[in-house]
Amino acid sequence: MRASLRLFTYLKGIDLQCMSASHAIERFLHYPYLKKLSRFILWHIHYENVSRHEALESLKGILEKSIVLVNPNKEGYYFDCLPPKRIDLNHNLVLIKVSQNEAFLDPHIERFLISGNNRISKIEQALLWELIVTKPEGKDIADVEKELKEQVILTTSRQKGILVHPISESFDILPIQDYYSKT
Amino acid sequence: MSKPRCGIIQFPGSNCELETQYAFQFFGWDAMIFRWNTPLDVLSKMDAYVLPGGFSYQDRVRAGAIAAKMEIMELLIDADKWGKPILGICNGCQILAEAGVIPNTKGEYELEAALAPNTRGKEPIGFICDWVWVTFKNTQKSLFTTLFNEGDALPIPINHGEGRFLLKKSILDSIESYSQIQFCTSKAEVLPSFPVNPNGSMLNLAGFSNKKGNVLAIMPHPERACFLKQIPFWIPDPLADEKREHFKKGEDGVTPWKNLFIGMREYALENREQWARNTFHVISRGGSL
Repeated sequence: MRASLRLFTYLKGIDLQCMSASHAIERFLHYPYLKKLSRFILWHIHYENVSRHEALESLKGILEKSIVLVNPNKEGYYFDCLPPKRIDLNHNLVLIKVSQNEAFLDPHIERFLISGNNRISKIEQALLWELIVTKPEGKDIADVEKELKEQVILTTSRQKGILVHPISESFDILPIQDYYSKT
Repeated sequence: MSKPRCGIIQFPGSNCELETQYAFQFFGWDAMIFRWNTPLDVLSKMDAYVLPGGFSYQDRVRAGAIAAKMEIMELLIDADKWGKPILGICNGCQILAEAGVIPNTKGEYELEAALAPNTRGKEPIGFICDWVWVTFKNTQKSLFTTLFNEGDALPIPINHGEGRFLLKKSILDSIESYSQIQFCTSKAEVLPSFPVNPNGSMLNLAGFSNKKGNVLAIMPHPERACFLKQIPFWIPDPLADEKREHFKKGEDGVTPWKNLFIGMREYALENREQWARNTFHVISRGGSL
């Protein structure tokens, strides 16, 4: 029996990384459609030989007893899905997952969690950027994503892209319905 | 003859500008610190530019990613086109890579190198603060390294969390066209394993030049290794012994890292008249940034 849990962590206060990235996107990449940029850390925690309920209780225990995954003084978290996002028809929501091509997760965190709880078999970590963009007239979501990828996401030069480094990182545009709760 | 002028660009979060200025002044430069938003007409009169170490913009998004987007980088790209020397140390190296100024194989300033988080084998190891040795390869391909001897091993400090050079595969075929500074043992052996290669860099790269040889991006700090008083006693290197001898006599001295500053100065002195004639063109194009 296996269980895999998703944990989304975020900064409760102002995220300065988002502030600088938004500023750079608007002012230096000249992309006018970005309305809001948010950032989450996505943790995939895989359990062996436990039910989903037991895995969830175990993860809650880790969150209560340690600050390894979440520092409650400055960070908040969601289990499984991000809260529902209400956006009007003039906007699109785009969620990007950025992974380092090579090792990224601090081995101390991995060792602490796996040795302290032998039911955890694997931990993965990635960065999520959530973009709310104004829908340009006459363009559908595929056009918006293509434009975002070329102008904002994939860094190819000083003038193009910032969120992902094409040599050291890779990214996926995630299906929204799988990552936001509906209620 | 007046000294060549060097502009040290201070971004919000830069923190090595003072020791960089001291080293440049000691080795015969008129070195001045400028903020990143200094007007173009002032900056364009410089004969060389240095991006010092630090944490520009708090390393937000990636180290150097935000600073690389700033308008001042347009000036540096102009300066590169004129062939002026540009040195990026540590965070400056990361900024030059993010701005596509190195290696700039096609002259189009595209992103071709990354400074990824440090690793040991496949494990991330976080920030490193240590003394290492580096050696030189293809010294005649860059104005910064012409006075160094190929195969010499020199001690130098590193202080970075994201210093692992990764290059586009296409560059690897032409890597011999670039002057390279590589991590090595104290006997100049280039071994790919930790701790000789302290951050997991491709080809043990600690720094390398652009194709023209007028830009050098280097992760270690030469400004912190150019005086004997900066060399720690505990490292097993002849420079530590030399320091002891000098200290007994109550003297200080310089290390071979002086060659980087002097090589750069000689080049600037040879070419600055030509650059001065071109400065008007740069100013008239853009005005103040």
